[in-house]
Amino acid sequence: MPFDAHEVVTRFAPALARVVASYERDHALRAELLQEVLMAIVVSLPRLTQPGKLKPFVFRIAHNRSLSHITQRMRLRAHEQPGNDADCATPSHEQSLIQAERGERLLEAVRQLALPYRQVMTLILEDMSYEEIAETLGITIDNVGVRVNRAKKQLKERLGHE
Amino acid sequence: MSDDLIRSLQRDWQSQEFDADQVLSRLRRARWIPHLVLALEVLGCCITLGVGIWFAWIAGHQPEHRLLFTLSATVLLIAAPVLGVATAMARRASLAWDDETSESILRIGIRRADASLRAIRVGRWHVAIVAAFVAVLWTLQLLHFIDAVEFLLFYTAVCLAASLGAWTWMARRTRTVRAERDACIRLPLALA
Repeated sequence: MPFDAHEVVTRFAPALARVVASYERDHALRAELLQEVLMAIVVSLPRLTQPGKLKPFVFRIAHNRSLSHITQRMRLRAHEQPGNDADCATPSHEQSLIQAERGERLLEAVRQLALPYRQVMTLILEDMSYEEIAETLGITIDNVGVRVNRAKKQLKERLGHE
Repeated sequence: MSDDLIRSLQRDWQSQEFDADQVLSRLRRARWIPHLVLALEVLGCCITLGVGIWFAWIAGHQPEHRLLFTLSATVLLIAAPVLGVATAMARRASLAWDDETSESILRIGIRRADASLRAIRVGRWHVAIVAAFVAVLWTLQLLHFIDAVEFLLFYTAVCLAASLGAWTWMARRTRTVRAERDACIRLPLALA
């Protein structure tokens, strides 16, 4: 079943922007990365044959493309620990994109998660089921559960939730 | 810790605003870029072939420059299609982003970095071949097989500038590719 590429990217662009923001803090680079993600989706879309798999398909591309982006960016920040690769810009860049203070705090907390937890948490926050997340990341459902629980625990500590 | 926490976080997360129109309009423009790059490559190849044919014509009509222009035409006529095909093949194939996992993306990243390093080594050989060709032309000039000092001076200057530029770029690219490779090796540890 053919998908309308424009409709798909328009529908998912806000969610993909949030996923990309969890990988890249710099405003300009984030816009560039988002564009690359959307382009990759447009190019790959004809290969998607199962309509029910659209959401995992789209988010898988977003995560894979973002991961590739941070390996390229890490060359500039070789001293950093893997997983903390989004820390490169000033808070003012942040504020220009994200209006809500709570959303901003959450995004900051998500960015500080280790990469495996960050990946599952961004998908959970986009209302995806464990099955969809497993499909997106190519891991088992049990593994998703473990990662989600650990990510939730870390987020709770960072955000000070009861 | 309950699902209320997740629901609350989802509300905060999804409240982040985003101006999609700006990126989507950029996306529409960016879709032309690969076609433009391909068109420029074909144009470059055609120009090289055209110059090669022109040199061959000169070689056929000016006996005093026959050897010089025959050699140059041969190199251009062979080099243009070969380099054109090599450029198209060397360009990184677009990854099937939908068909990979995080781990496989990193493994591919390492393989691509290795391939880039090999391509850079081949590029250095290209520079050496150009230098050898210029040396052969000067040798022929010194042995009086050809008589084109002014042309050779110009040709040598062009080759020297191009070779220095290419060598500098390759040295820089080698450093960045090695750093990318290191990043691809470090990140799987975080995914484990």
